[in-house]
Amino acid sequence: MSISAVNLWSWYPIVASRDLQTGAVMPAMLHGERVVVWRSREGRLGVWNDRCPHRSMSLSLGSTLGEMLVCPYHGWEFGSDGNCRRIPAHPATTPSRAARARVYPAIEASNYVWACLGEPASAQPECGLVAGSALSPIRSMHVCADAETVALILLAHPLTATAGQTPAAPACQLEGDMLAVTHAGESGSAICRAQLGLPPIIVCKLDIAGEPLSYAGLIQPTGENTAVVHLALLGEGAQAARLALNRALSRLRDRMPVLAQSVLLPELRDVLADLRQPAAISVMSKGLDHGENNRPSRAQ
Amino acid sequence: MAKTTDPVALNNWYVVAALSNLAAGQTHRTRLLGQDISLRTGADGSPNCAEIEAGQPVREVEHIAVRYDFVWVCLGRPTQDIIDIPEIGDSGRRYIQRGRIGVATSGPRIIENFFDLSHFSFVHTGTLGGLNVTEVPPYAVDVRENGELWATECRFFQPKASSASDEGAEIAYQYRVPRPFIALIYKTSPSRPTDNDIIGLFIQPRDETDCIVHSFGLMWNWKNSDAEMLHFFHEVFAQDRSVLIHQLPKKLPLMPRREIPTHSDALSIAYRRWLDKSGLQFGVDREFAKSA
Ligand code: FES
Ligand SMILES: [Fe+2]
Repeated sequence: MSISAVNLWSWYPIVASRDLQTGAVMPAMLHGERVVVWRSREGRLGVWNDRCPHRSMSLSLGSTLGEMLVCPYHGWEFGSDGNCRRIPAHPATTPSRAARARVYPAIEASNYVWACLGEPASAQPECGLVAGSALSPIRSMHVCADAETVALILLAHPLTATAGQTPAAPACQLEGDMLAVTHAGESGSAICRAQLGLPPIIVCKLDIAGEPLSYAGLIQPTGENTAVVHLALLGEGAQAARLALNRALSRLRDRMPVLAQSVLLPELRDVLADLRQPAAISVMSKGLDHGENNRPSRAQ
Repeated sequence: MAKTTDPVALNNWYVVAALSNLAAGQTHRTRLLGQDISLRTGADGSPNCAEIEAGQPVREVEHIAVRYDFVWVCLGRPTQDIIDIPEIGDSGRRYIQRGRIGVATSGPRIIENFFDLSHFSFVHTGTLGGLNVTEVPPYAVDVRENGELWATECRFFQPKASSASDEGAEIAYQYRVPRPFIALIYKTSPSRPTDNDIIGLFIQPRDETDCIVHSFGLMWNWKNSDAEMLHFFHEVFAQDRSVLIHQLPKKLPLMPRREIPTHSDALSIAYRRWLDKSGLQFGVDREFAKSA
């Protein structure tokens, strides 16, 4: 069982809706695939392979013209289905059917643009964790770690308003098809959840110093060792909370090399490895420990 | 990358420097076909070339020549002479060397861009093309008896065809591709419409996807300063480079269906076939041809 294997049937977050204005064209990466993300004048969304079928120019350097995406090299115009509609060198000629950009399934849900590199298994991003709740984007940030490591770090180290507020001694348990990591301490608690077998989306319920707050980290695997974390509030939240989470994410990025070495990560990886054996799931409940002296004991 | 083993690439002549760039007594280091080389002018002013390994000259390069004020080198056994450009030195045109510019892509991608008519309106908007006239009329392509690839009867409306242009004009073009990494343009001279200006591109492939472009102009232009002519050229070339570095794959795919051409790409189609036939490996992508 894994929480991050990139697959061809899942939806992956690409960009916050508000960051893709009408008429905008931008480059993005998804699992090593260069894609162009664009929005037509009427608001139609496109996530395509970032390669013009004509002479392989990067389409993300192009521009939109109404409902068309225009390649910057020879001005070929592509409709929302990816088919070339007009070749300016031959305005009277109907472009061949082979003159077609590769179009990926893309949708907009919960204030994000999502894309699938193959055939999506569901009509919507299938994450029960965020279904129904409005996501309010805070920030998208590039990090230098693979998506699984980033997911584990987010599970093991909740984003809190002040550095060091994370309660110690997290416990790990399976809730249906979700992995929940509970951090409980004197200052409060944090419960981080991830849905297994799906693109890594980490949802965290914080209750620290009497202030409940929920956020989501949507992880976009960009390369083998790079990812983007899209951080969003779950529901509405005060500006102060947004700022605090934003800062916490910066701290997390700066500490990424250290956190990637943290003792919690191998423990979480063990938990996930155990989950690969179906028999182990029913007895899954495991204590994790921050401390150097206490090796975690397997509670059965 | 080490020196290529591709005999087709090795047996060609390449420009590696303008003679005027070589200061007497100084060593000029550069790279050709994956091989580090050094150039040095001797007491008589003629250049020598050596292959370098670990910073030391290890082999004298036998085939070196000066032609058209450029230094030419062949790292293999030349199967053909350095190309003949009879117009250099015989006419009233002004001969200007246009410096060296690095471009991080393959030589064949640079050559294709150089002889491409259909990008003028979009990449050189306002000079070599305008957005109001984008159509490329049909032209003729042929491979001559001497093996050179030519396109003739090309025409295109250009708002400012050269630094000497005062107004837009329909410009007649001919393209000459005598070698895989060399191309020449013959285009109507704005200051002498009955005659041609000539622009030549000599690619020095440092590696498969990293080149230095040497070039010259042979123009009926006596009204601009060198600086004005170079400025026009550099502006145009900077625009070309900005697209070239974003074309992926960098190696030119030779498999026909990998990139979809249209009528105006007749020369590009012919160039790819011509390269395919030549057996060239360096800077081209034949992998796709196998896998599809
Ligand atoms: S490469 Fe896109 S139009 Fe030519
Ligand atoms: Fe150009």
